Amino acid sequence: MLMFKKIILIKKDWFKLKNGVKYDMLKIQNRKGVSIMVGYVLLVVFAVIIGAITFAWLKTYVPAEALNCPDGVSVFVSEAAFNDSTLKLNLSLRNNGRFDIAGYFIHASNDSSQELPTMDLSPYLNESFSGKRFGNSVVFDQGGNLFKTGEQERNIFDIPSEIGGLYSIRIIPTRFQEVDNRQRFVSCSGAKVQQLVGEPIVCIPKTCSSLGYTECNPPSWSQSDGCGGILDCGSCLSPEQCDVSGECYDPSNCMPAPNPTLPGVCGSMVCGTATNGTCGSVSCGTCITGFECNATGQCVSTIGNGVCDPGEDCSEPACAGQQAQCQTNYICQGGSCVLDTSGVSSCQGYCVLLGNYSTGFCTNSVGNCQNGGGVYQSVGDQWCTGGAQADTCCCTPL
Amino acid sequence: MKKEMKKAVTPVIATTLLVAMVVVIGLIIFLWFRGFTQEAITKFGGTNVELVCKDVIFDSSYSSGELFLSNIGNVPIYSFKLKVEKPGSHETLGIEDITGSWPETGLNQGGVFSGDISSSVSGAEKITLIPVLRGISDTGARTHVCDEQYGEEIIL
Repeated sequence: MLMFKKIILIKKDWFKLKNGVKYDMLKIQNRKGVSIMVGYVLLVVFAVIIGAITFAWLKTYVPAEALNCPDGVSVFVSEAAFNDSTLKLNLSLRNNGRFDIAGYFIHASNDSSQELPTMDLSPYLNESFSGKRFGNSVVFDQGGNLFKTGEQERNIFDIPSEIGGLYSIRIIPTRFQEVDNRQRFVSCSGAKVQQLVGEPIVCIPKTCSSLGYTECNPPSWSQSDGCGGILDCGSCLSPEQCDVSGECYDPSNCMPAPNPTLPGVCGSMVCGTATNGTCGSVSCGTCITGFECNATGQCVSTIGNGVCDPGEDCSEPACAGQQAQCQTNYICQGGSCVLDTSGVSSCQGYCVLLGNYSTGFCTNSVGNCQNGGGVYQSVGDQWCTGGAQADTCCCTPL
Repeated sequence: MKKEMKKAVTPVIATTLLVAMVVVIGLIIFLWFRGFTQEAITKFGGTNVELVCKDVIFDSSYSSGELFLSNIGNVPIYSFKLKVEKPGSHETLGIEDITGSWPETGLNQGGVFSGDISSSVSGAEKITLIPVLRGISDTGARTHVCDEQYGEEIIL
């Protein structure tokens, strides 16, 4: 303002000197001053608006750090063995890197001409043995990067018979990493490992307890541990004798089967229990996943038996309403996997359940949602019951 | 001087006219210039999808008419454009148009795909797989076809 007055006075004096007439030009000069101020204000406003538009456009081009695993992540496949008869894939992994990892993606091929394995094996993980399914990946345990450096882990996969044999597998390690104060699930593509699947290369010797022979060596048992070694599970004190289950019995109390060996007692049975004369019963074996033991001791497929058995997918009608082989948060419905919204009670809960969104809220229109960078999810409208001002479910992307 | 005083009213009108003209011309130039620039599509909370394209990592192979794809990176791939190069010509096709088995949500982390594309690539010498990403713009969700440099070539 001081500078503005100074300009006016200088102009006024110059006018007096030039024309030799004394009159007050201050009024006129003030009018021109208003125009200059308007000009300045407009100029500044234009500059600010153009600057804001340019900034908003250019800031999207500021490179952000890509989501990547550290360089030292590495896993070694110490065993990838597929057993044709049991249809089990034994996978042993060693973390030989410098960082703990959470799990892995596993893909396989059953054809030697297929260079890139694209068959996802994670749905076939035998969780009762070890490991957990996490979406389309396998984690060693839920809760973080729990496969520590130097550790070795073993997972078993029950491969459906329709897949047939396996030719090669590919493992891509995964990690949880904190990015912008949020835990992100990261694929470590730089540490991927591809290997041919072979016969079991590491033999795990059987033990007396794993065979169930707790007291003695059963009759006609070869005492083999399956790996070339000899097992000795003990012998009974006279007059007791060892039965087919590896337990001692007194012949004066009961009478075993005429041929007290496992084949002798079980005969053609491959599963279930068979009576050993009057000396109780013995186990003739168990069925693999996807099969169950029928009344005659034979393993038969569980598909169509009216029960959603482990390993079965949505093609089994009895699996309706259950997760079966669907990924997390999905259940079987109409023969396929659909999102399970039974536990959802809000638009926010629905958005989070979808997986690609951090949160959600009810707003008044689709346009308002999209203007704020949200994505409209019509299914979520059912939880937006706040009237016309909050009847649209808007999800915020991750 | 009386005559000059009358003219002094004009600056107010002139300033108003000037401002109006500047606003109108500015608006015209802005709308004209906007035609030369693409609307910003962002992903992962504000990164331009053009920059995200360089973080896309996937593996591909082709065997006996079947295309195999695996998303091994951390950027979900919404779709692919297949640039099919034949002797003397080339055409670009959307993968969802040539195979019915393409997943609706694309390939997320660890996602895999295999599908028969033999009818679309018969007689071709080379195909280039160009990733298509899905991002958000002012007008809602939009797809963006990455530059060909981020694609992967398969020699048939």
